[in-house]
Amino acid sequence: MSSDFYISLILPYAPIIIKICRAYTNSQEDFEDYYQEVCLQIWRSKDNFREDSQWSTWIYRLSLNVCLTLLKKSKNDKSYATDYLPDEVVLESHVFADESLNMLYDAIKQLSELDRAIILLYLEEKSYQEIADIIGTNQNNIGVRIKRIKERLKKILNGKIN
Amino acid sequence: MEKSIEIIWNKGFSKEENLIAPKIDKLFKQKSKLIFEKFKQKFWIYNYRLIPPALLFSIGHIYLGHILFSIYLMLISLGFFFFNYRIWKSFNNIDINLNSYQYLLALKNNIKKMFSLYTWVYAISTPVLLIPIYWMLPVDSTKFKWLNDLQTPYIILFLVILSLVISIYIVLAYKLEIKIKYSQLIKKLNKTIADMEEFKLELAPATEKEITDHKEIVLGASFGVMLGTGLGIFLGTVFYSANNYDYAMLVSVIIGIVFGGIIGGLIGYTINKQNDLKN
Repeated sequence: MSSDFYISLILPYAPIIIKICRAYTNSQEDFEDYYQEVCLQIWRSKDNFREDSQWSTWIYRLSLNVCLTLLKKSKNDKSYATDYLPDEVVLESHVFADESLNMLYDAIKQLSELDRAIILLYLEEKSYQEIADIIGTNQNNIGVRIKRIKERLKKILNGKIN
Repeated sequence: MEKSIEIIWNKGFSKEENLIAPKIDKLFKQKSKLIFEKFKQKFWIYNYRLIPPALLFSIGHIYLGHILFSIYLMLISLGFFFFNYRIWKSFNNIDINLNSYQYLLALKNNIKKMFSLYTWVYAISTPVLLIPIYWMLPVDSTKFKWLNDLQTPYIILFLVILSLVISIYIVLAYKLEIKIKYSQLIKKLNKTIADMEEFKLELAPATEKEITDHKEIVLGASFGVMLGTGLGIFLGTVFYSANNYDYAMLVSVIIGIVFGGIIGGLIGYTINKQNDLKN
């Protein structure tokens, strides 16, 4: 990967990648590993990018796919190790300076993998159509799903964020 | 007042410190460390796996009354264990201060050298270590009568050919073992190196310390053992003819192996050191 490619085509979208990677990882090490894999995968798959979607949409889709793949892979490897570690060691909840954001992320991590993806795209102000395109479902399902996810998040966060 | 998740999200990510992208080189450093640790861990586990079968086999042969053979087997296993341990330790010689790219290149180089060294060790040590077993195990049953009836030079010739065939099989088995045990790790290593090359990182000139090449020592010791075995067999035959002493052959062969190995190893070590100085 040339540094030009990284600076001009990945770095402007780094916030998107960071937000997604944070939602699927519990430690700084994993986060950095996921971030790297996403960057590399973007570069490797750049020739597969078709002009029929936006570059940012494509990055969202790819980032989510990479994170879900890595999560699946690491689940088997880490299930044994994490079973014997106390929660505070496994989860690094205080990755952001903003405490409310940390709480929101902790709540998002309690959702299913698909719901995490949907709520992240929703919070990034993607349209229902875009979310449906990225996830691979129809627009009507997205609206209903987002409503349910928001209710669930509200329940989890109830009284915690003021 | 309770905030909505949208407000928390937007407010939280309006602060730049929450969106700092990790530096790519730092990421590679972590990945390199992980690959290195995985390799060392695998190697160490495989080394320890040598002990239980060696122990069981030795105990089994003690039970059968082949005490000398059991001791011989234990010594070989211990020898291999400590040889592996030395190789394992030598991987720590890779300079930790190298950048990730050089670090992985040095690791790849060392792994390649290690595989080639082990191929040599297996190819040479197999016949060298197998031949003396003939004089340690009782082969006077009716099944091997034809072998015992042969003259000593023909017995040796037969054993040499048999050992060479076994040696070829062992080398091929080792090549297969590398593929099964390490291919995934090596693929990952190559992939990471390729990715880093593509990144066109600005790299400092290579200064990696490579592992000491043990090839000369192994070759020297192996030839020493081979010559020692030959000399032992010759002297054993002479002593046996002169004194009719039953253990003459065995004692001579063992003395030949030990002294041949030590002298050969020392010569190999001297050559190795001189080569290091030249480089």
